[in-house]
Amino acid sequence: MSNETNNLGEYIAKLQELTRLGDIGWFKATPAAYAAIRDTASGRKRMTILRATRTPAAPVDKRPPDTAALLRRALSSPAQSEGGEALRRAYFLFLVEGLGGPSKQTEMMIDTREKPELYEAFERLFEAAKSSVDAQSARILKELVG
Amino acid sequence: MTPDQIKELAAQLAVPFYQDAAFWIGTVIGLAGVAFSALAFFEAKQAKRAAVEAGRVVKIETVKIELADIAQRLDKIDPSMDFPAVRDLLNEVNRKLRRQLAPFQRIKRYSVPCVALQQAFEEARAALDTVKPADPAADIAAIVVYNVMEGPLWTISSLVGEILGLFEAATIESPNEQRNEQSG
Repeated sequence: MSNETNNLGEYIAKLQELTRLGDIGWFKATPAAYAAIRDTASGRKRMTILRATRTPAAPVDKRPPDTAALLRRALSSPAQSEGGEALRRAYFLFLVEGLGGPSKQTEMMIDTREKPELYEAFERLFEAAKSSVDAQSARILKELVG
Repeated sequence: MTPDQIKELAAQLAVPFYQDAAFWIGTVIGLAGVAFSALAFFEAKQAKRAAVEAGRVVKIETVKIELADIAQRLDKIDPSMDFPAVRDLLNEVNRKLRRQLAPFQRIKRYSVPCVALQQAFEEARAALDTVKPADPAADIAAIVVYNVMEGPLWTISSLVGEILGLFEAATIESPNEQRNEQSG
């Protein structure tokens, strides 16, 4: 792993730590993404972390269709299908946008498909953001029940 | 009737019918009628087959044009497309493909790529769900939508290209080859 990648890993770990301490307030942007807005020396920025799943294109089977197999395949979810787990690969996208101007400017984006060595660091950050949002939800529910 | 007349009648009846020229004229005309009817039947059958074949070719040509258009649309996804634009594109392409391919799904050569295409759409739908804004105020950057959706849309585009190739092969092959395959 290069020094630059090491540095990136350290910064992601720091973001995770700040999230754990409650210094970064994440909110749910999509069912699979969390976002947070943070003021920095160079202006206000929004960071988004998204977890997606990639399924490599399966080769098309040239054999005659087996009706029973097709039915089984249609009735089972993709993850349950034979080899489904092996074909699936989760990845993370981490995006930072500058909010200073009239429109958002993409400042950086990291894709763990291109930097797989950062996968685990982003997985920990994603879980921390998820816990942070769950904790907020729990607080709201606690207020509601008095 | 006199005895002579009876004898003459009996002599006429004693001659076999097939020695009568009128019998053979009638038989020949009858057989010729049957032969022409059979010829007309086979010609009509061939004409019907040709008409069905022509209709099938026209339908395949229409589907080919539609599939080429869909493939071009899928290739035009760009990083500025946001969630609603990609969702609309996916819905439109899904609807058009299902409508165009529905008549061919039971034909052996198309059924396997059609099932693969259906699965690719399910994957694309699942990928699209990951970038669906959690609430109307929230938004997700178009570049993220592009990065998540580019792969699944590429898979769909590839399968559309494969099915298009099968349709092109179908217009090259003889009707007999296709009938053998469909019945096989």
